[in-house]
Parts: sequence; structure tokens; C-alpha cells
Amino acid sequence: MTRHFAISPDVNVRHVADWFIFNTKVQRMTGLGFHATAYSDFAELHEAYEEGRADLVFANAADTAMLVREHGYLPVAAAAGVSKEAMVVVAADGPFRGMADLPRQLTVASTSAPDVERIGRILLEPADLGPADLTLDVKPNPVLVAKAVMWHEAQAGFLPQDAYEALSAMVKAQLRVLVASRIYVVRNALLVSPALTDEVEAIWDGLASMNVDPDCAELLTGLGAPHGWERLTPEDADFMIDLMDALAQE
Amino acid sequence: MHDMCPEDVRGEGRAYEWTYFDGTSRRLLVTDEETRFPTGELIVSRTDVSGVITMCNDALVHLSGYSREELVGTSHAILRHPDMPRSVFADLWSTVGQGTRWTGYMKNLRRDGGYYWVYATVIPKVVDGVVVGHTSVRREPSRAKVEELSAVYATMRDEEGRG
Repeated sequence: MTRHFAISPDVNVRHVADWFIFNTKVQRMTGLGFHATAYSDFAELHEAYEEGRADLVFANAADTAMLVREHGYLPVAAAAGVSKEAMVVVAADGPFRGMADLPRQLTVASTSAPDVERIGRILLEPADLGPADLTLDVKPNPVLVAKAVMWHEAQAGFLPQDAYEALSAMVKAQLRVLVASRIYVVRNALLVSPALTDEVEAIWDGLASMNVDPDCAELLTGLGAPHGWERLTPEDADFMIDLMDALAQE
Repeated sequence: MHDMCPEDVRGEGRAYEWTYFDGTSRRLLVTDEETRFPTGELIVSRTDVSGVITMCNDALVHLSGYSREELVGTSHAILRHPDMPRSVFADLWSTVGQGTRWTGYMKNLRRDGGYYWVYATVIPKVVDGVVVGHTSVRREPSRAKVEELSAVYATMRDEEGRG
């Protein structure tokens, strides 16, 4: 039986190779074979969820809520001390210098990352911009979101903070950050499908071993867990579900 | 809940003897000092089914002025500002009691007698068809809505005989 490790578009694209190395480690932890696939867009990833091709996944908070609640996935771990933040950017040479300058109808470039979009929409609420006031222009990745804003194809953009930080200095100089989140409790999570219920403890033990292995330090940084992994309990996942529900605009 | 102490209040506070839904009462000291919601942050808290806080994040600690120890184990009503119409809370509890999310604007009372406005969403936690608690997320409100709701709530208070 083939088991699948779905590498989400949430991970930093520059470090995809590290996730394939991580896959090898998980195979050692469990003694099971996993076929790893790196997804470049969320539609493909969600298709993999529906078709049962994601036995192991490092998922964003919105997908974590959906997978745990609707598909019975089990939480295993999250990157210690790392949260997902987002920001609203506009063109540095454009007319918008603050939230009060934004027009009543706004075109926003965004990737299809559901948690970033959800946070971005929340950040615009104080400017009286609700779901009906926004037209989303979905781009395949954050670099194209930044370019769409720089080139005035979109009036604003939603970017995950880590992706913004990874942009070149030249690109960043052409963007203005209007507002950034400081939420601290939205996190990506490592989840397993119900078929791997018996492997949760073995995987956690393996992750805990990585935390104390100096040879894993560089790999952990590449995986976005520079301070190692910490256990994610069902209560933590439950909280994430409630939080994502609360942040979903209706 | 303890009475508010004059030494905790910044400036001259107006005193209210406030009676809560459960018949308990508390002396409130209220000032006109607003603390604006920090841009980009979220307040997150959870309560049990009776509204007692079981968990909160740092943002609530900072904005309310209470310590985490003072908040956890205390009724969420500790944050209730006397300018809020009682009917708003009646609507909130009725809505979440039916297992439905509630969203609205609230003026909350700080430990120092000041206030802060939030845009709040309250989600009921339903297990086997029974509401067992609530998760509340508060974020920065639009100032236009704050102005609008201040007037609306004043009218509602008048209608409640609390003008």
C-alpha cells in the first residue's frame, strides 16, 4: 500500500528539498514507505486530500481545521515558537499611504492560501472593507502577488510575512506594507490521516529526536522549525478549528 | 467579581452599582479614557458554557489591563461596560445558545476604568448537540462603525431606561 506525503504550497519553495529529506526521516521513524509530492497550488493539494493522497501533511491553519474536523486527521506537531502572520501591501509609488486612503472597492492579489487570505481580509475590516468590497486576483505564488502590486495590476496584495521577508530588497523597496498581523496563534501543523493513527507516537518520538540532534539543526531551519518541533494536542487543533471558524467572514 | 478600586482607576471615575444577569452586583468606576485596539492584533479567549474565562491570549491581558490570573476563572462579564445595552448581550447569549455564531461591536471596560472597542465574533462549541463553551475572537473595529454604534447603543440604553 502506497502512503503519501503531501508537501503543501505553504512551505518555503526554496526549501522543498528539505521536505524530501524530512520524508526520508519519517520513513525511518515509522518503517513505512511514503511517496512525497510537492504541490505548487492549493487546488491540487485539496484534490489530493479528497482522493486520499495525503497521509502526512504540513498544513496551514485553515486546512488543519478542515482536515481534523471533516476527515478525522490527527495533529502531531507544530514548529515551536513559529506563527503564521500576513500583511497587506500596496505599491510604494501608488496613491495609498495608509488604510484610510483605500478605495471602497479594492482589487487584491493573493495566493490561494486560505489562512493568509482569511487574515488579510480581517486586516482590511477596520477600513470598512468587507467581503463584498474586495475582488480577489489569485496568483500562483507570493512573488507574483508582489509583482501584480508593483505593476499596479492589483491595488493591494495579501502576503504571508515569511514570503515577504524572502523577497529581494529591490522588490521590497517597491512595496509599502499598510498593515501586518500580530496574531501569534495561527500556525501550520504536521498532521497524519486516520490510517496512520498507530504511527503518531513513533512520528512524534522521531521529531523529538530531531530537536536534540545537532546534525538536524540546519534541516529544521529549512523546514521552518528553527526552534524544533513541539507537540500539538487534539485540544490545540480544536482551538485552531474554532479560531479559523471565527475568522471566516460570512 | 470584586468592586473596582479607585486606586486602580486612571483619573476621576464615575461610579455605577452594576447588577449582572445572575443577580450579583459590582461597583464600577468608569472614565472616558479610550485605549485603541492595537492594529493587526487579535484577542482570543475561550469560556465555559456559563461564560467563565478558561483561556485567553496576551492581547486580552494587555488591552483589558487585567492579569491572566485575574481573567482566567472569572466571568467574561468583568469586561462589560455599562454603556453597552443589556439587549446586545441578550442577543449574543440567545444566538450562541442556539449553536450559531454571533458577530457585533462591543465597548469593553478596562481594569483602569477606561474602555476599548472591539469587533467581536463568538462561536459556540457544540459537542453532541450541546453547547459546552464559547470561543471569542475580537479585532480592531472600523472607526465609522464605532461612531455609528455609539449612537445606536445610546438610544438602546434610553429604551432600557438607562439613559
